[in-house]
Amino acid sequence: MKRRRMNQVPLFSSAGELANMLVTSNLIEAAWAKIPELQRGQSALPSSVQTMVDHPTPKCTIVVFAPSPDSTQDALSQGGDLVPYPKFDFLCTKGCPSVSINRAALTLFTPLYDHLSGLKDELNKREGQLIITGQSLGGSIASLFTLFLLSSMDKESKCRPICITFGSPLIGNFGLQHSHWNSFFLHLVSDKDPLPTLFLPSGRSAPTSSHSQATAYKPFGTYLLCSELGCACFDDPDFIFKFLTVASSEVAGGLQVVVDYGEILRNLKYRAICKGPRLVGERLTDPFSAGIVMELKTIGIDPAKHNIDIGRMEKDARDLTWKTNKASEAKKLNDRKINMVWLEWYRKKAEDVKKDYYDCFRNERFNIEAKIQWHMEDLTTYWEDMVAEAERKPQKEGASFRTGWLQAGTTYRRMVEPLDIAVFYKDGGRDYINSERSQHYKLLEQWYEEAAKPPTSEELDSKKQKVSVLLTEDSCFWAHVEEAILSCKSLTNANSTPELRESSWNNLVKFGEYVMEQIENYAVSPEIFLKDSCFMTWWGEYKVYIASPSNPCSLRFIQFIDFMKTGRYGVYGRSEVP
Amino acid sequence: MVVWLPGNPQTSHCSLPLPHPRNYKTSSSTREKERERKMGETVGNRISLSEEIINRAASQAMRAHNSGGRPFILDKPRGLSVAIFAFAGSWLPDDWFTHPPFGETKMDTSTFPSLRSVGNDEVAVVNASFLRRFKAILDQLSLEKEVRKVVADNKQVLFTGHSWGAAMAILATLYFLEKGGPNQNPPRCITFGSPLVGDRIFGHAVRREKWSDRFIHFVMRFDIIPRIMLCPASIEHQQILNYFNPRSEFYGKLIDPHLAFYLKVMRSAASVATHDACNLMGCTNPLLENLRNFVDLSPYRPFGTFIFCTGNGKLVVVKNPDAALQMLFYTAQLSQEEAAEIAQRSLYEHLVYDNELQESLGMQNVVYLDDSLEELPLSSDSGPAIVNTVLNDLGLSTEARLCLRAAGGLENRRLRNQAKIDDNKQKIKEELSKLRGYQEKGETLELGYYDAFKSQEEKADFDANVSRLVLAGIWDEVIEMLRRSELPDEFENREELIELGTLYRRLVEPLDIANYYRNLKNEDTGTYMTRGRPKRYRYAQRWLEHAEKKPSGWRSESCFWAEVEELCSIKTGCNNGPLQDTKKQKIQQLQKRLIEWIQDGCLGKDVVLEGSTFVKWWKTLPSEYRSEPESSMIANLIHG
Repeated sequence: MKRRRMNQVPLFSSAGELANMLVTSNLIEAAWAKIPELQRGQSALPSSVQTMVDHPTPKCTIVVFAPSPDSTQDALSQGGDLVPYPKFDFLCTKGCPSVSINRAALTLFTPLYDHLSGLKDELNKREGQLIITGQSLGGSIASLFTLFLLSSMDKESKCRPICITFGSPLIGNFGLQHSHWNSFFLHLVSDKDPLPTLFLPSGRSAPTSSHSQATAYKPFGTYLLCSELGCACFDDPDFIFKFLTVASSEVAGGLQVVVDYGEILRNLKYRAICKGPRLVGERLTDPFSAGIVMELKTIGIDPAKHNIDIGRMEKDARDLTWKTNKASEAKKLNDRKINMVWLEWYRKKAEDVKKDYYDCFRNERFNIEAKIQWHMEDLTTYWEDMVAEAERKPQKEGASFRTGWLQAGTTYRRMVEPLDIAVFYKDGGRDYINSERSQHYKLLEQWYEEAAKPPTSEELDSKKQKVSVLLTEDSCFWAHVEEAILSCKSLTNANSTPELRESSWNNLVKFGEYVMEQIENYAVSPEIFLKDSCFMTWWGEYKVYIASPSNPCSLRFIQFIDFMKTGRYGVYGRSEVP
Repeated sequence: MVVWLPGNPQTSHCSLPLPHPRNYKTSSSTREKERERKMGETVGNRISLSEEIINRAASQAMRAHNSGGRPFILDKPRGLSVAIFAFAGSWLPDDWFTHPPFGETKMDTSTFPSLRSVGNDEVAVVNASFLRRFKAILDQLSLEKEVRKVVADNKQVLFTGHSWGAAMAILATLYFLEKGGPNQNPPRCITFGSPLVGDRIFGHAVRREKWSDRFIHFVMRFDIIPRIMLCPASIEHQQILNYFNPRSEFYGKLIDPHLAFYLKVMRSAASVATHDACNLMGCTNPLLENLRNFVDLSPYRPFGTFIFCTGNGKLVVVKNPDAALQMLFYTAQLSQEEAAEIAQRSLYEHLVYDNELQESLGMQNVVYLDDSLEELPLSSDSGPAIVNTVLNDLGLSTEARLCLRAAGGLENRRLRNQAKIDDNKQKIKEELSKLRGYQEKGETLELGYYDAFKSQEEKADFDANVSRLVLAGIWDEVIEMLRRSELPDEFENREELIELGTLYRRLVEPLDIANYYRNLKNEDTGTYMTRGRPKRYRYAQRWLEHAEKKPSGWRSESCFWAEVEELCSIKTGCNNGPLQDTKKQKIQQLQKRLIEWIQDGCLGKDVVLEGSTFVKWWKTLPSEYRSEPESSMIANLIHG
C-alpha cells in the first residue's frame, strides 16, 4: 500500500456518502412517485408521450415524461445511432464541434419540440424547485428538455432545476464535465436494468448502430449506480462508461424487463441506516483506497477483475480537490494584479521620459525589460488557462462565464500584446498577425468584439476627454506599424520589383486609412505621436516619399496625410481641441 | 447493568452488550504507549470534575426531571465545592418544536451577543422552544438570584439537566458565560441525554470563545433523544414524547411494531451525517451544491465534549463536533437481526443514565478519540487493541471509521492552514513596515500618503501599490478560508491576529480607498462603502469590534477617506434642502469622530496635513457646516 506523503492531505472517497444522502432524503422518492402515476393513466390517452406538470407544494414543480410502451418499443427499434442535431449546438465545446443525439430519443423528442418550447417559457418564469423526471426513454426526454431549458435560462433566474432519470440510455456525443450544468443531472442506474447499456458496443444494440458511433456516447451528470447491496455516486464520465460496459456484459433479461426503481429505493433506504461491513485486515491504511474499494464492491465492480486503476482514480480526485481550492484562487488573482502593476509602472516610466511604451520596450531602454517579461509570462499563463476554461464550456455558458472577467482580459491584452509584438519584430519576425499571434489573444479580442456595443456620442465624447490615459484599443496596432515600416523599406529600396512596390504602396494606403479611423474613434493613445516612437519614425521616412502622391487616393487617406502634415496630431487627446 | 423500561417488563432482557473485555495488550511503539497512558487517564481528571460530582449531577438531573413545576432544583452537597442547578424536564410537544420542520430561530443576540460568527457575520440558530422557555425561566429572576449567592460563596456553579432539562442547562450556562466577569470562575455544564440545541455556528461560536470545555454531554449509545432534533417534526416525534410522558395515555407503551419512529429518526440522522461527511471528505461533485436547493436538512449540530456510553461499562470521549455527529448516527445504526431490540433500547436507554454512569465511572474504561481520530484503525482487527475494542463495542463499521478519520483530518487541515498563515506573519509585518515608511515619508512632503498614493507619481507610490497587493493576496486567502470554515474555530479570537488585522486595516485601507477613487470606480459602481470595500477590511473591523464588545460600525476609522471622498462629491450650494441637511449632519458627525480618532491614535495625523484632500476640502466648507468646539480643534490640529 502506498504511503501518504507528508505534505499531502489525506484524500477520501465520498461516493457512498453522497449516494446515501440522496437515498435518505426524499428528493428521489418525490420524483419517482409521479412516474407510475402517469404511466397508469396512459392507456386512456392516445398521444405517444405523456407530459405531466404537478405542484406538490407552491414552491415546487415536478415535470414528468412518460412515453407509452408502444412508442418506446417503436423508438428503440429505430436504433442507437447518433444523429446530428443542430438545435442543440449550444452545447458545442472545443472538443465537440457539433452535437449529435441518439436517434431513439430524438424520435420521441422532435414531435414534442413546439409544445416543449411553450412549457419551457412558462417554467422559466417560475421560482423555486423544479424537478424534471422520467424513466428509460422518458428520462432521455427529461434530460433533453432540461438542457433546452438551461440554454434559455439567465443568471438571475430563480428557478432551480434538477433532472432525475431512472434507467435511461446514454443520449449524445457531448460532455458537460467542465460545465456548471453538470450539477443539474442525476441518473439512477440499476445493475439489473438492461436499458442504460443498450447502445454500448457490447450491449444488444439495434442493428443500425455501428461500433465507432457507440463509443462516441458521453455520459454527463452524476450517476447513482445501485445494486442489491447498496449504491454509490460517480461523475467521472470514463468511469461511468466503464461501469455501463461491465454491467452490459452481465445483465440478464430482455428489453421487456421494466425495473421497479421504487422497490430499489426502498431497499437502498433501509440499507443506508443499517450497519455496513466491518472489514478485517491490516492492509486498509489508506482511506481513499479503503473507501473506494468498498464502494466499488457495493455496486458490483471488482477492481482487479474489471481492470480499474485505483491509483489513477486517486490522482484524479486529488487534482480535482486542488483545482477547486477557492482560497488559493484569491491569492492567484492578487498575484496577477501585481503583475499588472509592474506593467503599469513600466508604462509610467516611459511616459516620464516622454517616450512611448512600445518603443521603450523594443529598444530595452530601462534595463528592467527582462523582469517585465517575467511578469508578462505569468499573466499569459493565467489568461491562457482562463480562455481554455471558457472554451471547454458549452458555448452559451462559456459566454456568461466570460462576462465577469472580459474587461480585465481586455486590459491585459492591450497592455501585454504590444510587448509580445515588440519582441517578435525585434527578433526579425514578419507578419505577426497571421503567423505568430497566439490563439488566446484572438479569442479575447473576438469575445470583446461580440460583447461590445458601438459607443454612443456621449461615450465617444468622454473617451475624447480621457484618451490620454487610455490604452490603445487595437492590441495589434504596433504590428500594423511594424508592417508599415517594412513596406516603406520595400518601397524605397531600389532593388524592389514593381509588383512588390505596388503591393507595398497599397499596404501603406490601407495603413494610413486604418490609422485615421483609429484617430477618429479616439482608439489610439496619443503616445504614438511622441517623438522617436516607431510610428513617428515611420512617418519621418514615409512623408518624404509621399511629398506628391501620384496615385488617386481615398478621402480618408488624404485626411490622414493632412492630419500628419499639418501637425494636428500634436494636439490630439488634449481636451481643448474642438 | 440495570435495564429499566417503564411499563414494559418483558423487554428488559437485552443481549446486545458484550461482556467487559479488558485488554491491556502492551505495544512496542512509544507513541502508542503514550496514547495508552492517556487512555488510562480517568474521565474526572480529563474534564477536571470528580467522579463524585458527575454522579451527583446525574442523580440530581434525573430527580429534577420530575420536580413538579419548579424550573430547577439547587443542590449544595456537603464537602463538595460545587452548587448543582438541575433543570426540570418537559414532554410537551410545544416545548420541543414550535413549528415544522425543525422549529429553529435566530439566536437572540442581545441576550447572547457572542453566539454568531464574527467575520462571516452570521447569527447562530437555536431551537425556538428551548430559547423561549429558558427566557421565561430567566424572567422569574430566581435563577439569577441563586447563582449570585452561590458565586458569592465561592462555589463552582454547575448546571445540569436530563433530556429537555439539559437544553435549559446549556442555555443557562451560556447565559452566565456571556455575563461572566474576568475574575469569575465560569460555570460548568453536564448534560445527560440532551437533545441538540443549536446549529453549526452556535457550536463554532462556543468553541471560538473557548467555552467548549465547559460542556460535557453524556450520551447512551442508542438513546433516541440526542438524535431526535436531526429529524423534522412529525407524528413519530409525538409518539416518542408520549412514550416518555407520564401524563400521556401512551406512557411507556411500545410505540409501533414496525419501528417506524426509529427508522424515521435514523433516516434523517443519516441524511445529515452523510451530507456532512461529504463535506468532511472534500466531495467535489457539483451536484452536492445543487442539492442544497432541494434537500431540507436539520440545522442542529453537536458541540462541547461528548461522552458516549457503550452500554457495557465503557466510555468514549470525543470533542470534535463533526466526529460527534458521525458517532450519533453510526453508533445507533441497525443490524438487521436486532432491529426490533435496538428500537426498544433507543427508548429505555434514555432513562438509565444515573445507573449506567455509576457503573462506567467505577470501571474507568475510557477511550479518548480526539487524540487519534486521523489514525483510527479501519479494520476491526488492527491498531491499538483498546481503541479497536470500543469501536467494535460501538458497532462502528469501516464506513463509520472513515467518516471519523475525515472529521479528524479536517480539523488537522484547519490547524495546518493556521500554521501556514502564521508563517506569513513575518511577511505581513515586513510589508507593513515598508508602508509605514511610505506613510512617514508622505508626512514630510506635507501631502500625506493618501494623496500621494492617489496621484501615483513616484516610484514609492508604485512600490506601495505592490505592497498593498501582496498584503491583499495574503489576507484574501485568510478570508476565503474563513468563509469556507477551513480555519480552527478559535482563529478569530486570537489577540495577535486581531492586532495585526487592525494595524493592517488602519494603514492599508486608505490606499484601497485612494485606488478606488483614483480609478473613478464610484462613478459606475457605487460608493466605496456600499460596493467597493474589500471583505478583508470588513472582517478585520468586526474582529476588533467583537474583541472590544463594541457595536457594529464602531471601528470604522479606516474608512475616513471614503467618507471624505463621498462628502466632497456632493456639491455644496445646490438648493436641494434635505440633501444639504443630511450632508450637514454627516459633516458635523465626521468632524466629531475625526477628533476622537486622532486623540485615540487610531487615525494618523497625516490626514490634517496642509496639502491633504481633507484639509483642502475642509477649508472650503461654509461656516454653517462647522460646529464648535470641533472646528477650532481641527484648525489647531492642522496648524499644530
